[in-house]
Amino acid sequence: MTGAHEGAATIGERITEAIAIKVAFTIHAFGLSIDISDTVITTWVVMAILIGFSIIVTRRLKMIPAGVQVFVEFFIGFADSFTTDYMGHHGKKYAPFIGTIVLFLVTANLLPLLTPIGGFGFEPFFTIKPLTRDINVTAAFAIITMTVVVFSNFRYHGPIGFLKTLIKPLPMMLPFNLLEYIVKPLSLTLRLFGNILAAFIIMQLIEIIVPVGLPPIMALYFDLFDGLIQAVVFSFLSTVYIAEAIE
Amino acid sequence: MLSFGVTFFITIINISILYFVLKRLLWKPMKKFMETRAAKVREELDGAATARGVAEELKRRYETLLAEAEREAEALVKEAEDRGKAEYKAIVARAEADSVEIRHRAEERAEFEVRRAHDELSSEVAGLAMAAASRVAGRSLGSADDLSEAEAFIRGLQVNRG
Repeated sequence: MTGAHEGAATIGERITEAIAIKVAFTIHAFGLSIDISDTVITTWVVMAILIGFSIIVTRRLKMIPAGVQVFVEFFIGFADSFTTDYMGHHGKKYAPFIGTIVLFLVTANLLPLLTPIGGFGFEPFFTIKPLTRDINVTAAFAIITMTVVVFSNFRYHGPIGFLKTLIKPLPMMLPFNLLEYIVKPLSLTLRLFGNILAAFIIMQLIEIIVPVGLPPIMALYFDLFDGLIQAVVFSFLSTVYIAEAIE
Repeated sequence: MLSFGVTFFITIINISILYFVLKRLLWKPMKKFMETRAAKVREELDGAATARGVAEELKRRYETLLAEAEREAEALVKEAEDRGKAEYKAIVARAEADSVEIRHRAEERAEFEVRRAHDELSSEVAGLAMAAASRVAGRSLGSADDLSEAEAFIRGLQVNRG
């Protein structure tokens, strides 16, 4: 094998290693062995950050907001007005759900930026990889969103009304309308998963090929911008789907 | 990476838990706080609007009262000025009358004094004339008749001379 082939194999292996979902530990309970992956651990970290943040922020609220309170009030007000714009007066009920999705995805997608920089033989003592590179996570989000969509449809139209929506505008549209309930979660899952995974792979490639100088610059787009935009896109589409269901 | 597994179900449970926890710990307290503050601000704005209305009413009344007071003050000043002018005229007229009377009295008194001085002078001159005439005549001319004649003679001289 030539040096070039060895190098290519090494890059491929390193990337495969980087994107692999590893089992952190296994829980044995009720006769079951439950593998806890590193993405679940990251999910718990994100949850802990958000819950801790919520407790700290709401502890001392000031009448004249300052600091983080300004951001939180802006975010909650924006989520309220955004959902109300799309869903009408029902929108405020869905603001916490959409807000939770946004906060989780933004935090999860930006968390890898906290990974210490390695290189020159120095290995960072911990690494945080984007958890949405795991299709289980994005699929879970998509299924939760579609569950909310279906329940909202049932809630505001009733069972008969829900069935009627399947044959709108014409009965011949029934297969396409049914297909929507498969296509929508699939597109939500694959868009988020594909974008984040692709950005992660590209960043890994850049870090391998040009380890100095370029990675921080490219991270601005592939980690920061892409992470934010995908969180926004997912939340926006979730809002649109729910709005369609309850209109 | 592409295999579905237990992570899918754990994530659904995790996100559901996170949704309920964030709704309770972040959304509800923040919304409650923001709504309370909005209500308070609305209440204070309403109070401020009411207070402003009251203040404007008070200002309007104050300005009306001030205008009335200014009008009354002007009337009082004008009245005082008129009264002062009238008083001044009266005082001046009285002073003029008094001065005329005083001057008149002084003139009368002066005339009286002049007349009395004339009379006294005439008596003295008559006495002196009588004494001179007694010495010339060699007899005493001191009776009351002689003196009266002498005085009448002197007065006659004065009348002729005057």
